[in-house]
Amino acid sequence: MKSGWKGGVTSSAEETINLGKSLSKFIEAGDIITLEGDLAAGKTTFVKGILDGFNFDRQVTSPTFTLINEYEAQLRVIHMDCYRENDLQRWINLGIQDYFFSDDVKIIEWPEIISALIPKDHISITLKSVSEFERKIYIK
Amino acid sequence: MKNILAIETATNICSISLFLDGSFVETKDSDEPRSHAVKLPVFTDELLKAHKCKVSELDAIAISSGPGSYTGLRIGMSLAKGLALSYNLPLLSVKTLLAMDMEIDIEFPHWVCIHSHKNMVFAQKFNNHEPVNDATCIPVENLDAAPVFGTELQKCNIDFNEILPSSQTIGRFALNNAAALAEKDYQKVSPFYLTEFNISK
Ligand SMILES: Nc1ncnc2c1ncn2[C@@H]1O[C@H](COP(=O)(O)OP(=O)(O)OP(=O)(O)O)[C@@H](O)[C@H]1O
Ligand SMILES: [Mg+2]
Repeated sequence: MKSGWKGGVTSSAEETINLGKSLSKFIEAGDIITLEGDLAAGKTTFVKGILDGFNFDRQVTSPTFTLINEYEAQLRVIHMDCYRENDLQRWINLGIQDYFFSDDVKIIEWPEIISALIPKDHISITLKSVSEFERKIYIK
Repeated sequence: MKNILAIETATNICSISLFLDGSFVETKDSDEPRSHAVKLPVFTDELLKAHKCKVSELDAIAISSGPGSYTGLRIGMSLAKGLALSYNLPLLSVKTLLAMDMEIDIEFPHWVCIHSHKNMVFAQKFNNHEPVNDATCIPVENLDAAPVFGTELQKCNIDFNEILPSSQTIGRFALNNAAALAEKDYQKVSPFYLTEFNISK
């Protein structure tokens, strides 16, 4: 990823979308981005913004149940959510190594669950709920 | 062994060949990325039907065992085992780099490589069609000055001669070495991943 992206504090889902949009200009092919934050911290909302920035005009939904969503955007984006599946072998069988080795952009919600599998050279972003509508979003 | 199906799915190329009476008949292939799961069963069906051949008339299934793409290898291996199991046919598992080397006719040491990721390549050195070392996954800078043959290496900024993996080569190698390769204990046949995950912690 190119350096220079500034996180920030947002006070609505729209603002989080815009912040995600601003990040997309810094993202490069092959990047692995992890999003840490509690339930409803805004991870999926932030991903919507990133895809918006890649001019993706179809719906972006949470991969909590599908585990992996693939979006054919300006760059191919792989959106993973590890919340529901903590069996590392199942992720391996799913072929995440091929995703990690590819030029696709990988964005991972709940990365702490499969941290043992994630390559070390990833970009780690944290989303913290400050109040009902405020979120602090920053690179670790 | 005379009638075999040969499968090659270690890279972006999805390819299947039919051999009847020991001779090559036809290949079906595609290099569309990530299409193996969709294309391979269809190719198999079309190929067998086109030549009025039933799975029960085959003597063995040859499979390119890797190294290569994790998902590609698993898709190829699943189909190979599924077909083999249905009529208790032996599997002929062929190392991908070894088969690619069959296509190279030079009489001095050279590398055969498949791009893995970033600057990493699956690599093995051969001389006169004999491996000089074991297949490894190494940074491309670690290759010595011997000429490089292989596929998907454009990203690595090195001079190389293109050699594509093909099910035809897999089939030919399998036919020539059928007695040594034939395996009916399917548990013993698995993809040769080479870059298996090390689950840390
Ligand atoms: N500043 C904000 N940024 C993002 N979302 C906000 C904000 N304020 C309120 N919200 C609300 O919080 C929720 C965030 O949901 P979202 O699905 O993005 O969270 P998540 O982190 O992906 O959760 P999960 O862990 O369940 O996947 C939404 O309902 C959204 O409307
Ligand atoms: Mg979510």
